Amino acid sequence: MTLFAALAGALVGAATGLIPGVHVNTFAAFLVAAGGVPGVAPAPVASALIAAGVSSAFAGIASGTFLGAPPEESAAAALPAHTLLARGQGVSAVSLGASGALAGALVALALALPLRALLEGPIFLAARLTAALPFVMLALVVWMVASERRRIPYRRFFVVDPFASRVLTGRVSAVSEGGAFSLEDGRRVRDPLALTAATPGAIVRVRVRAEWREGRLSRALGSATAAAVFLLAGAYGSAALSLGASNPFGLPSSALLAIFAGLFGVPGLVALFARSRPPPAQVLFASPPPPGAFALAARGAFASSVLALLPGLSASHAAALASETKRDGDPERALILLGACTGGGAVFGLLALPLLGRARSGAAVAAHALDPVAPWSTLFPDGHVVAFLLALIVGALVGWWAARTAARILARLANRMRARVLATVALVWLVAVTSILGGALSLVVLATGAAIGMIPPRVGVRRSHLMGVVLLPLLVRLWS
Amino acid sequence: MNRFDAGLIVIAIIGTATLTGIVALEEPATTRLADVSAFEGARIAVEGRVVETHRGARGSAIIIADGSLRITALLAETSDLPPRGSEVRVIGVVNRDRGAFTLSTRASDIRLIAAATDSLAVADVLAEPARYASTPVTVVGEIERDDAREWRLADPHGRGAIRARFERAPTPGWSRVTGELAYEPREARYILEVADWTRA
Repeated sequence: MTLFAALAGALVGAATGLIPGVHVNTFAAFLVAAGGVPGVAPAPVASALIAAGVSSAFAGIASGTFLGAPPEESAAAALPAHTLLARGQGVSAVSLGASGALAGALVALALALPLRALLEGPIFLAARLTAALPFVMLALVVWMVASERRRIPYRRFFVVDPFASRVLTGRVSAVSEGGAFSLEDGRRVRDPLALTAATPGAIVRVRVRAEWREGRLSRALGSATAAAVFLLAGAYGSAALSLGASNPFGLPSSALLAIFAGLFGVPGLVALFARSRPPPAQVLFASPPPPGAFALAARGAFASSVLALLPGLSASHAAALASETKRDGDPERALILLGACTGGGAVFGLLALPLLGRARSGAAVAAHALDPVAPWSTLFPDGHVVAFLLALIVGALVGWWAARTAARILARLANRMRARVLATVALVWLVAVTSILGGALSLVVLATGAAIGMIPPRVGVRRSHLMGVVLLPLLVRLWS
Repeated sequence: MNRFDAGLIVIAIIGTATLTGIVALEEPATTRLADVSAFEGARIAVEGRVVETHRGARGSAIIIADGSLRITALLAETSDLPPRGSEVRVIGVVNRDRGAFTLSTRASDIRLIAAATDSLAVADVLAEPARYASTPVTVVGEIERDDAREWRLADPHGRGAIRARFERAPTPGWSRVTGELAYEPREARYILEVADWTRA
């Protein structure tokens, strides 16, 4: 009975994860009400809640990749996923993310007891990490910005171009080899085809075009641009999160839908309109995981498990930082790592209840309210904890299956529709869902987020700086 | 950078400034604490009396009561908190934290409506009830039931008691009671309309 309930809960949870804006806690509220009905056994309902909590996080990987509205847990993974989607490998992106999440969930389950000893006692790492957290976070953010590889050209020079509209007039002060010369006012002109017979002292009048080249400060300017994007996203996140979202129908709502849809969803869809060539057709089969995938997943699961248990941090912060620590330009490996953060964070958020006696997720609280979960401190737990773990595993497996199945369906749909029609439908859907769930002000949040989300590719810096949207408010909170 | 890029940056900055301005200037409507559950995720304002304050290493919390319910307002700051017993207006976003509704707020979004009065002894109030009438007071005394099974706040030295009216039945014992003293003409005596109480 418990197993069937977990299966049903996982399926409904997966559905909530696939529909942007529908949170699993809404489903939890209905189930808690059902659990209170006389004659309904609370244990199966609690199992359904636990399974739904996990499968929802897994299924969110598919909606974040194809529908452009990633849930909080998988927002960072949307960046490499969109890279693969643009290459026609959306199914692979979801498959890698979901497989990483499954591996991360299993690793988190295996690490549960050792991590408890590490975090709580006898080592008490959690207290030490909490104390060091402001410095660790600041160092990671500074490193994230400083390691931006974009070099921005800032030294202006002119190239002689008989077809240019700009005309330059001045007295030549010096002529160097290769046809370059300087004017008395300091402007430098290159004339590679020797169209101008410039000699020192001569007055020239030439048609030129302006060009920029890199200098010693180019690297610093790249980092400064990255810092500006990070700060802008952070200021936007602080304001939008403070503003909240007001559902006109009194339903639970969150500003995160408009924020993440704006930053990560709309820019990708708008880019589809700007493409001169149609995007490649989506391949319906997933490519195999890259070598060393399990080690990557273990790393992601460990990081998200530790960070997700610290006060004030969630799996989304872990994923944002993990995306910085693993940046070798390989989206497949990044997806495995970030997927593991999603899976590990989701599982550990729920496991915190039997392990540490602290609830870190709404689903866990609701399940605990229905059927109090016994503590888990021994290698062989009692039946209650076994049912809890079983529900976790069922939720992870169903979520993994649902994400991959939904990806294939969405990819088929994408192949049947013209890119611009698909982008229009998705944009209309995002705008409608955002305004219905978050009220009219959410549209301002969505539009501002979209403008900010389009800046990084235009100025050539990494889109991961947009994660300032959650990291800057956290930094402010830690340092205030 | 072309005009489109510049336009994007301008829109992004203006949009962010607008959102920040709305947060700073907009006054959301006041919501009763009993109705907070209908506003999950929304920015609202609540008014009530500060019942408890807690200060942690990374933030602080104040518990507010308005006679209907209590809510915890969480701050990511450890700045000065309003004193217990004071009446405040708090603007924040409603969140559900571990099943309970909380309010995420900032110190600048907590406004003092009426300062807390120092805790009074029951005898002080009984000596000059008119002085404290229609103002928020915090009185320390023994919650007990009288012979007519009505709740009262008694002086520990037997110097009298104030009749108290609670929304829900309290636990008898030595307590700090916050409320408003009102004259009841039918009974020809003052009654303490209790907003909240804690064990002293």
